Amino acid sequence: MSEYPRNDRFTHKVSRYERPTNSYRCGRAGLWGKPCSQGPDANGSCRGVAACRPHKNGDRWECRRLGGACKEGPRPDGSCCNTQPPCAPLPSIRRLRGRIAALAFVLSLSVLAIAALVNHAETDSGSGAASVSGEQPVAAISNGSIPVGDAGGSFLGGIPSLTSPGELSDIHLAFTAEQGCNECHVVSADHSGEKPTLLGFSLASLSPHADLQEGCVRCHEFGGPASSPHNQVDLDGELQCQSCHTEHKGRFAELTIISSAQCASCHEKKFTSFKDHVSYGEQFPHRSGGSIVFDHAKHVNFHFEKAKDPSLIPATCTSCHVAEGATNRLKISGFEQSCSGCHQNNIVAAAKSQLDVLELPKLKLKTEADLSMFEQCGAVPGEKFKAAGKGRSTAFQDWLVDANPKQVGNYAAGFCELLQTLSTDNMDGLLAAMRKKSSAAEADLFTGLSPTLLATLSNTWIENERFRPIKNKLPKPVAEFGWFVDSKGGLKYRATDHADRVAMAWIKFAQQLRSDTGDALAVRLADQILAEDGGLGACLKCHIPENQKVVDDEPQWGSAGLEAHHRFKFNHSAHLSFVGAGSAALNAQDTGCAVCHQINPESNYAETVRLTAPGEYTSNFNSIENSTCAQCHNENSIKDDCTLCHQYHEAPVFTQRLSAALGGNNETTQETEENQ
Amino acid sequence: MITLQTKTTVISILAIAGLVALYWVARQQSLQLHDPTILSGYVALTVMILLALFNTRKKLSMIPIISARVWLVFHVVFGLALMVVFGLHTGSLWPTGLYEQILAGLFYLVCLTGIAGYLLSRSIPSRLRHLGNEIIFERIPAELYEVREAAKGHITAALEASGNETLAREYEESLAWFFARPRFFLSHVSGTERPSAWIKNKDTSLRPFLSDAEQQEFDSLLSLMNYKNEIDAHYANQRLLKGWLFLHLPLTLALLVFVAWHVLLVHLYVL
Repeated sequence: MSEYPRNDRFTHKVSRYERPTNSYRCGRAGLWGKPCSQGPDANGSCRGVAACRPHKNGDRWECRRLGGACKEGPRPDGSCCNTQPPCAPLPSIRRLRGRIAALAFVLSLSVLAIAALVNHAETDSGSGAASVSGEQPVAAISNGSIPVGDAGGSFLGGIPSLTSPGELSDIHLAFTAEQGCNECHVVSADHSGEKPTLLGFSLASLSPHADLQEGCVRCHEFGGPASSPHNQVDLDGELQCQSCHTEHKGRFAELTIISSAQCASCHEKKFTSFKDHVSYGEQFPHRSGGSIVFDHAKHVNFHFEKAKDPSLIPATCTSCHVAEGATNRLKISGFEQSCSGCHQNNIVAAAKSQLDVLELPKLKLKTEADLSMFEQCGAVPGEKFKAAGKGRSTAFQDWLVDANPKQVGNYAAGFCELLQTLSTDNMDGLLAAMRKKSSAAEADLFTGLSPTLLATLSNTWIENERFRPIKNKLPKPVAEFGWFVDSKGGLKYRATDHADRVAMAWIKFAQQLRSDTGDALAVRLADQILAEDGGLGACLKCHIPENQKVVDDEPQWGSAGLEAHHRFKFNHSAHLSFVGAGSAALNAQDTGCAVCHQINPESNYAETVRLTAPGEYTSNFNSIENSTCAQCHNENSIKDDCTLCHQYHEAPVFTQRLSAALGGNNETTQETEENQ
Repeated sequence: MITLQTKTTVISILAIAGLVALYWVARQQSLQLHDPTILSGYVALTVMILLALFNTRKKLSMIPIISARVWLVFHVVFGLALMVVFGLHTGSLWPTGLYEQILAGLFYLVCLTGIAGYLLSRSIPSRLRHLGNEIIFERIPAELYEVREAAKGHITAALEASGNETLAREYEESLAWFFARPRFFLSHVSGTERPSAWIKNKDTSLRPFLSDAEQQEFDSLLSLMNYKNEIDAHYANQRLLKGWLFLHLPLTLALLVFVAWHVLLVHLYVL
């Protein structure tokens, strides 16, 4: 081979147009034929039809062919004699690459534009996922169904959505059925409630946006501000729900994961394992005695030891405490099962005490004015009040009349009005009179009281007749339970059994009176109601109303006490089977409940159980220490994250909007949320 | 004079330091219950735009905005760093939403094609250097035409000198196919010896049947065949060198479109 490769084969004289930056290349070269010397122009037109472009030198045309003049030379008209048909120039690699890139760009834009338009059309028509399910969200939630084909905005009308970053969790899946993304995302402050347009999308992204948390608090509420740390008013800082809860991570994503390190970032004492946990304190986990007085130490170490009937002694802790499904607190199985075996007699004894409600007082109407005032009420006083037994007003009457019997004039006028009220309006009138004095007055106070009895009694008083009880064959001990009028014409109440509804209502009423007002007559009434002798105070021997948990304004008379501090949560049920609580003896020291709860025989529980100020109460159990928990919960064994025992939120519940949809009361919804 | 290696080292250190700083800040934000994805997202976006500007820089060769070689080093180093930033941002290998899946898929494809392109641009030039001749890719059609015409000339010369049609028939049956356009593409890309073996096979199988006059022309023809083989190797390797950008660039543009959509949605629905 002599002439190949030529040394000058890539110089510009040999090839002037084959450069990478050219937009087109010769069509013949593209087919591996002979490329022309000119190549295509910038617009992609072939310039190789003629071998050269002859140049006129004076009156002669000269050949300018690259590589040397041809023999024939230019034609007389100046055109090249060597012509060929034009080729179809091909795009260069650079241009082809640019075209494909532009195509990819346009294709991507088109896909997004179509997705946005479909999204907009679906939102406009109001169908969206709702059209798939055909149900309103509330209905979908309440019947537990999830719209078919909807994945929390991942599909719109069956078409995959290009706006959803992923499926919603199962918990929230049904909520997008009606409004789609707008259920939680308020597009912007300016576009709130409007259907977003494509242009609006772009503009909204530049404008101020509403709080995403707004969507969350439509369904969730807490015992404090939603955005405050731990929902506590007194803690600085602000947190958004999405700081911890991230949606669109799939149907089975865990929404509440938070690491111990994240907890430690705010808390002064930083630790990431149980062994470094701050001390639980001397009162852990009992900061108050709850609403039932029960001295464990005295019962286990004394009463059960000395019991005459061994069959009445509980075999294990779970004989009285309900282990199944127990979370923070172990509920007590109830008075009848746990206490009545020994304490039924106490109830019988307490029932001898009665509540004096109404009496006809013996008024010394000495002046004409007093007498006249009393007579105007319709009463016909004789030389003496025939119906008045002892003739002593009750604390309830004094409070209701708002006068002391010693203030004869005022009292007579008030009592006169009361008699009229009882005569005409009966029970409703009595309640109305009470409600003028206190908002705590409720119909429950007179449950079981016969209107006929009250009317008869008031009319007898007005007419100054002696009250004649309806003849019946019931013996006196039975006849004088519940509401009754004694032989002297006084209306009284005597509790019938444990957990007597009327007695509970009067105790609640007395509690409210005490806390509401400083009125001396009200305090006297409250004292009389709560008196152990001549009142319902016997109930308070075991019950502590001050510690009662209140749900929907109703004090809970069971064992439920105040909530544990620091949003503490504990699964008793899971631990009880582990320590063998169901079989361990009451006095066992290292098995059963005693693994954690050691009775402290030295405790002065009895003296402090009714004290409610922080730190005054002393439990009759020793405090649980970190080391007890750390035996099992450590980095080498069972997990010991902060969230294992602590709940971040304060009293999380669903809002009324969702509660109604779920068909549950507040307590139910709280349980539901905790379970979630 | 600062060498390219020094510049590479500095850029690499900058990238690593940036990653460490980003990780630390994101970690702190996460611990303080702030969303670290906003920061990592905007860092990723910034890096992505800077990487995309490399193509623009290449087109603006007349403006002295740092040399293209340094831009390339930046492109490669920060491209690798971007993969880490992307991991920090998403927290998972594969998201759940369709458009985020498209976004992640595009990102991975861009990364893969970029890495493949870098490896090709590192390995192919040295391979071309070993071929011995320098051939401009755009000139290959013209070069092939000239080689083909020269081959035809040798065939004609052999026919005239010997009067035998052996070489002419061989040319018509198989050599014309060889000279018509670049051949053995995959063999040249993979670096196998199949093309050389094919030529050697022609030599050994044909030579015993050639006269002295034909053998002289056949030697020249063999030289041409070997040269054509070099052209084929250049064509295959340079085609590959230019071809990976056919994937990388369009994918990058599509990725940028979806990234813009992602930023829009985040601003619209989250921030």
